Amino acid sequence: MTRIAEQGHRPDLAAQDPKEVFAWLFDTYAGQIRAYLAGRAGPDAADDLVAETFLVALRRRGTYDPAQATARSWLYGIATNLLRNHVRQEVRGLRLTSRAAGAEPATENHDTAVADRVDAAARMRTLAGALAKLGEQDRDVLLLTSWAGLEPAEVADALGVPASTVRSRLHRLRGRLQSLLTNSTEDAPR
Amino acid sequence: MKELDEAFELLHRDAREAPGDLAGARARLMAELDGVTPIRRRRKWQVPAAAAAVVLVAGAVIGVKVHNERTPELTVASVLDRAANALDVGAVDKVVRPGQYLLRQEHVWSERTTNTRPDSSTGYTYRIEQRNSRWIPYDDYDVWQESRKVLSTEFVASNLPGGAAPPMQAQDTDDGTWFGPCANFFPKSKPPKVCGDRTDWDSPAFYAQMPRDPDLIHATFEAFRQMRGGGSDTAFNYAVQILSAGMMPADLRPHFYRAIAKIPGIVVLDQATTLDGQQGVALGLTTERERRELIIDPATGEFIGERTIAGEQPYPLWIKPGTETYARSITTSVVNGLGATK
Repeated sequence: MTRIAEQGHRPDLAAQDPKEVFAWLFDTYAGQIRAYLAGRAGPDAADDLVAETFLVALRRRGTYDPAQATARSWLYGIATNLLRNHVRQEVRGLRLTSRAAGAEPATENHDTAVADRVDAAARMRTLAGALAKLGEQDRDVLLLTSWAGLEPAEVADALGVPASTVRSRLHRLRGRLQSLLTNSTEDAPR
Repeated sequence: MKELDEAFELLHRDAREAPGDLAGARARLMAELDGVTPIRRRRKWQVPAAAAAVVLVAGAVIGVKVHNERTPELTVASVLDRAANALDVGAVDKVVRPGQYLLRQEHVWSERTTNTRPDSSTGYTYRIEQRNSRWIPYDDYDVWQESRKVLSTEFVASNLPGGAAPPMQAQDTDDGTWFGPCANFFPKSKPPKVCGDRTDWDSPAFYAQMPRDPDLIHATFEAFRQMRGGGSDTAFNYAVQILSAGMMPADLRPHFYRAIAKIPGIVVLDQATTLDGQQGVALGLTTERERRELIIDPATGEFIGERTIAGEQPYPLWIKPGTETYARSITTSVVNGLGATK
């Protein structure tokens, strides 16, 4: 196991013992990839999707080039591609979240902390509504960054687009979403 | 941006933090890993993806995922008719000029089964992945080239004692390059390939004699089915095999799609997306033994690929139901010489 770990996150999948290296990959990344998938497609679909992600990775291990991408970004790329079959489910979930009623009505409570929580929940719902309206790749860029914690260069590897595209898209999208959240909080009834 | 990051953090947090069944996923991976051996080489041709458009499609079929939910509004006739309409208005053949070649490249995963008893009750199966390229000359009576390359092999299943299996025996035709007129790469094979054969879908003559009327094309499917004595799956498999040859002229394809829609028993298996993000619709026909799927992009009419999934009573017996037993994608381009890729 030490031998693999020494190679960091760019293992040579084509040459190493598949059992050893894929067990390590699974134990290292499955939990975080499942969380990402559950956030997007729901917990029920996530279990199956995480299994599919690693099965596909195993089958396609010959196509992985450690010089081109980290194992993490490669796996997230596969997971994100598998999500293409769950777009409707994802958008439906985001719309439901955006329409969900606030849990704690601010008008009935003057406690500042509670009011802050209400604001945060309102922003979260606004964000959900905005994400539902975005294109798939815009959503991929945002969620691979925010939920998966990938760097822009890793997002680029995962999605197969230039890093500069990811950076500029991220900048544009985050700016737009931040404005939306600011406006929504200012407009929210107190 | 703190507020935005906070909103992302809150969004679907419960779902993301819910405990999952990772043990089940790990068990599936470990089961798949049994018998998998190191590849011991890297296939440079598949990366970077952006540099090789053909590879994007070549990888497309392998790993096609079909959405579990049915889409009631999609019918076979509507999907194929839309694809046919797209072809009616936009499809043109790639023009091959004298001295040029049509390069057909296919990426194939297939099962290689060895029966250890005459009654086929015991044996073992490997999976072989190949990249095959075929150069078809302007004049099909000229010399063609066929190159095959084995990319990987892996053990799939066995019902021999202890799940054992001897190493996979490579065949002479798995890897190599051959030449010959009219796809006659193996002159000793029976029946021999002959130029201008109107019954061989490797020959332009086959497509030239095919009617341009869906009913008449469907009649050819039916004639094949009756000759073979099978059910609808025989006709569907015949049609998919012809499409997969990758040589169908543009003016025939829309009629061919409409003819496929007439085969009884085909269902829309819903939206399918390849790992490379290609959107398509999978049409399939299921029997006890297998489910054969044809995947097309209804918006453009493009044939994306095909695959076969083991059914409830698979053959061979030791294959698990649901195992992908075959997958193939094909791309074509025009190149300037035998063996050339540009």
